Amino acid sequence: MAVYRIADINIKINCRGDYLKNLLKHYLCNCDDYDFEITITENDIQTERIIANGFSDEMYESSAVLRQISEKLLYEYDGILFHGAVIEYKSKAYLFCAPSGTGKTTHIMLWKNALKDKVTILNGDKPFVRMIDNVPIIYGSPWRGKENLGTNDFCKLDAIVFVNRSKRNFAKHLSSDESLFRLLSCTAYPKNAAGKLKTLEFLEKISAKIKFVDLFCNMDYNAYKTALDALTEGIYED
Amino acid sequence: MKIKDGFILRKFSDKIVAVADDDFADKSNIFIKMNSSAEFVWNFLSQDRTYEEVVDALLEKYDIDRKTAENDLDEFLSAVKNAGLLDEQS
Repeated sequence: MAVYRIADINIKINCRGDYLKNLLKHYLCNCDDYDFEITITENDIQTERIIANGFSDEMYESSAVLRQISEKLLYEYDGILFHGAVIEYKSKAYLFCAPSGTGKTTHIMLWKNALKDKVTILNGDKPFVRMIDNVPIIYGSPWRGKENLGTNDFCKLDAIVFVNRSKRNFAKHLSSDESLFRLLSCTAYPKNAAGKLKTLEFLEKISAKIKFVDLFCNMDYNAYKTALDALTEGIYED
Repeated sequence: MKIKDGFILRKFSDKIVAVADDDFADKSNIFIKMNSSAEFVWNFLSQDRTYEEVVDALLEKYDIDRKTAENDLDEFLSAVKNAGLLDEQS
């Protein structure tokens, strides 16, 4: 069994399938110490099959591991799993959230194309956020989405941007309570009451530390400028 | 009318969020966001009350006129009815 370092936590994972092994390979750490251990059982696979039918057992193993890590993070490591694409620019991370198919990846590629090496794509699909010494830190994860975008790195989370498709590009800042329902829709939280309350507690903590932007945008170059202006309040240097 | 049982209230920022508890399984993903007067009505409606009783309670608690109280209450009732959380028969 190998130990992987994910979101600054050493996790011993007993991988059965090559699909999961391949996903995790960049997170392998050469150490024996670990914080907790995951072994996926046939029951876990069956649970995943009920949630989303029609995938291979190797995919279910991967989603079961992701589910167990995210629950452990929420209850014991002051963290949560987000569904979104996150970039790093000038030592600040911006997380773009929207329902699948809205164009998160297209949008972050506008940033990448415009700012080249000044922008790092931390993760294209499922980053983890943890509060470390009262600072929200966002981590890349092995689950990088269908475009396989990401890197094993972390950064201070500065803002969450909710992406909406629109003909015209514009953005507005949101308060944390205006953001709550949208935040919930892009986090993975347990369905029991204790899990939901824990999720609210965590979201309230990060909400006090980050900005929220509602971005209405098309797929043109100007969409990235609109987002950049809103995130930096117009103060930036190329 | 009364609010159905099975919710836990929790503060979030300057609002209150009602979270379905585990016994309210079919509504388990409902979250409702409220300001403080909505929270007051929510708690007041934990017991069976008439519309007039709620309006009177609002007038006693807050410095507002009857029209404002009724408008606020109508808005709140519409939200909880839409979420299927109001028991109008009790």
